[in-house]
Amino acid sequence: MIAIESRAICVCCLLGFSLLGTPKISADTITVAVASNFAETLEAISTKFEQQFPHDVVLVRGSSGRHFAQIVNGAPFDVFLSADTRRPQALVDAEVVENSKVKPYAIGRLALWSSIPTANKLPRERLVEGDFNHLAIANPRLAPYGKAAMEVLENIGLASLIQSSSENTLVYGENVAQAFQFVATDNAELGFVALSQVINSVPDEEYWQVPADLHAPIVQSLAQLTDTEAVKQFLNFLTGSEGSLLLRQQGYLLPTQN
Amino acid sequence: MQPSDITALIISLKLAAYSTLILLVLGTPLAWWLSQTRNRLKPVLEALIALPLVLPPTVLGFYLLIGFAPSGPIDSLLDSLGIPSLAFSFQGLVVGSVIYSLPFVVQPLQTAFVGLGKRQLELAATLGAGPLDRFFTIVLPLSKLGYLTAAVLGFAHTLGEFGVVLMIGGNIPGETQVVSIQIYDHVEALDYTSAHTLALGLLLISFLVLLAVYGINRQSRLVTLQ
Amino acid sequence: MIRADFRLERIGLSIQAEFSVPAKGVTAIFGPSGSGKTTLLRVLAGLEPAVGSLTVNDACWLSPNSFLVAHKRRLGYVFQEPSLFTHLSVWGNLQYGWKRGSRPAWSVDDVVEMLSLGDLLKQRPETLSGGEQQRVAIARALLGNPRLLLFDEPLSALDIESRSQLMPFLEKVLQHNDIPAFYVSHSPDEVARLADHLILMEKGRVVDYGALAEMLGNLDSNLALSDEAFSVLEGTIVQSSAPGLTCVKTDGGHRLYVPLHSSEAGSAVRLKVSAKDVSLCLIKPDKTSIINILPSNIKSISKVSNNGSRTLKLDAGGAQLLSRVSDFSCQQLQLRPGLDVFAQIKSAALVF
Repeated sequence: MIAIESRAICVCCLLGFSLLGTPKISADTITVAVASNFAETLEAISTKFEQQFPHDVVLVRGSSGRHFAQIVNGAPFDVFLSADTRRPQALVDAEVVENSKVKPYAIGRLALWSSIPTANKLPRERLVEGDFNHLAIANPRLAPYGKAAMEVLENIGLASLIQSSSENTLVYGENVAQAFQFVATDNAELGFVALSQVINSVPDEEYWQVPADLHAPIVQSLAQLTDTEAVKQFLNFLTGSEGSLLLRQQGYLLPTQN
Repeated sequence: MQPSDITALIISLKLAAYSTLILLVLGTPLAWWLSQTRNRLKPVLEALIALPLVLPPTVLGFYLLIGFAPSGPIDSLLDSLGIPSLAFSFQGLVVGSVIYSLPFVVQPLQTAFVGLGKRQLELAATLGAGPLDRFFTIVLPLSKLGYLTAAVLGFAHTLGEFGVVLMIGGNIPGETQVVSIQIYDHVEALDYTSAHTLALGLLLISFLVLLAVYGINRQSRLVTLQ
Repeated sequence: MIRADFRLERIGLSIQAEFSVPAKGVTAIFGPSGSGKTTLLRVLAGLEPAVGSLTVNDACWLSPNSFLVAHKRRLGYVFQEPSLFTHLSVWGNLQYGWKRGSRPAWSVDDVVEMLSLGDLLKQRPETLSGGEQQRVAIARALLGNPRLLLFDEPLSALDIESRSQLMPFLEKVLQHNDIPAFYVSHSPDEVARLADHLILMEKGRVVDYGALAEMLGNLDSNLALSDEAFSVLEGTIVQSSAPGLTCVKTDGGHRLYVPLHSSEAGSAVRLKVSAKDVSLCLIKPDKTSIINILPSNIKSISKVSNNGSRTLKLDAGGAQLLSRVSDFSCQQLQLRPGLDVFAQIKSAALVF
């Protein structure tokens, strides 16, 4: 008799705790398709967001081209944070999303990184002097960071030199994450990566923060795909003061700044 | 089709051809040893050879990327031999492809050798043929189908290689830019037309190559029946 | 001389052999299935590793310190299943051994003719019948200029017709050359026709070896004590006075009548006489249907077998003859060594 009663009490307690275990009563899950270069930054922003709001943010990181293709074919994302403006614009052109739902959320910065710094030589000097075998950049055709890197090379006057040189080769990663990988594994001595990838993790003397005027701005736009309260709250947070602070800490510029 | 696409096709075909040839040469003694031996280490070696079948290509590529690094042991060995670094080079892709397609060549060869049985080889020995003699005059002619299968599988597998090349290639036009990556990039860049064209081109060429190979095989069989 | 003293021990494949036979003529390896005959042959060929010694005409093929590899031994091996090289034509097969050795002792044309291969040369092995394939296998073995011929039951995989067609070829080949041959068989008929010497095997061991007649006449052997015991008589075909029957004059001078055979007068033949087809009489039989009656003398009598019979060894005018008689009859007739008797051999008992 007593045994059955205590078991019943246990079960009720467990049920009660499981109910308590979901403190968010009107909780939503927000699925965000995010470009690889922004993923880490978005994680930091999401963590802060989840502390203040009862929602869960799920990140799907990857290449913007793939995300675009998936969204066009009905992938259930709520927000699309692209690496560029082209793909969100393409979504508008494809009438998947309205123009009003697309806006810039960050402006990216480039960094020139060398993981094996040679003594007394800054990355910039190594680049200009041609002191490298392989220079890694993201594929200019696919990635805005790659395109920007090419613009930098042209503006410094090195582009044609490198194309024709046999000792210095340009090596193309699929995206800026792969360019980073090439440098991180020492296969490329130098590489143009996103500033956000090095700013908080690599010693200052190992990278050159590329001046923003050496290339066209890397404007990253987002597309809002669903219209729930939670999504609106999230986007407001992202573009609001807390989100902007984190963005700047990670090396991005705000869209209104230029 | 754009010139860069044609170049990519040529690189891919070159890569597949070199890799297949190297594998047929390397794979022969390996497959032969496996088919004849009763050594205790045999299962170990067989498992190692079969690894590329189950490993995601990107894992293989990733370890190759680390392995090829200038600070690594492979590179210092190559350096002492006067060979340039394998990272981002066609030679590096060949090395990667050889490892990646190894089981596709070794396994059909091994099966063919095992299927020969011992009888004809023993007879050849009694008639005065030494081991190498027996291999070239008995084993090889009777393993033609095995070699054909191995070559086709190795070639096709390398032609379609993506993950490994993605990790270690660097996508350098005219050097490491292969068709599979090129198609992927076209899709990434939303250039679906080029993707279609290139994919169809690859399909067509692959089909023609395979057709030629199987056609030659049939021809040689008809001739021998006379 | 071929001297052997070796053993091989492996799971499911153990043999022990000690024998010494002349390096001339045909040595049959005889015994029941599973007695290790094929394994013995394979050791002789160098296809199985054994421990011990083997010398062939003073050449040391196996010793405690050395092992001559199969491809250096120069052999002609004919397997039970015809094992021609399927990717070569008949001609290609014939050439295989020849290309790898010194010139054969006879010309290719002779061998081709001897085995009637003329029409088959350009064909591929899979188009030939079993008997034809074996002929090619034999020719291929000869043309490799072997120092030793090894036959592993070459007829047992063939149907009866092919067997009887192939046998004359085998006889021709084995008689017309000086190369010593080992012939594995479990068929008494084949042994009777072809063997000069015999190695008896039982359960993986060589139990006895020697010249054919001696071996057959060894009344202690399991062979002699069984109903399969037989004798071999040699003779020549002569003019027959009985219609429907062929007459063979034995080397001992007796005339025996056998079923009609196509061989010509003058050809040398061997006759196999099963012991159980030889019955004995104390007085010369008269008015009997049995034609072949040989006066003989009893040399020795074996012990009683499980089925109550004994084997008697007779001297029939110089030729050794065995007879199986029930123990009861032996007692009744008071048979003993030295006694003169008449041996009756049923005509149909003589087998070519």
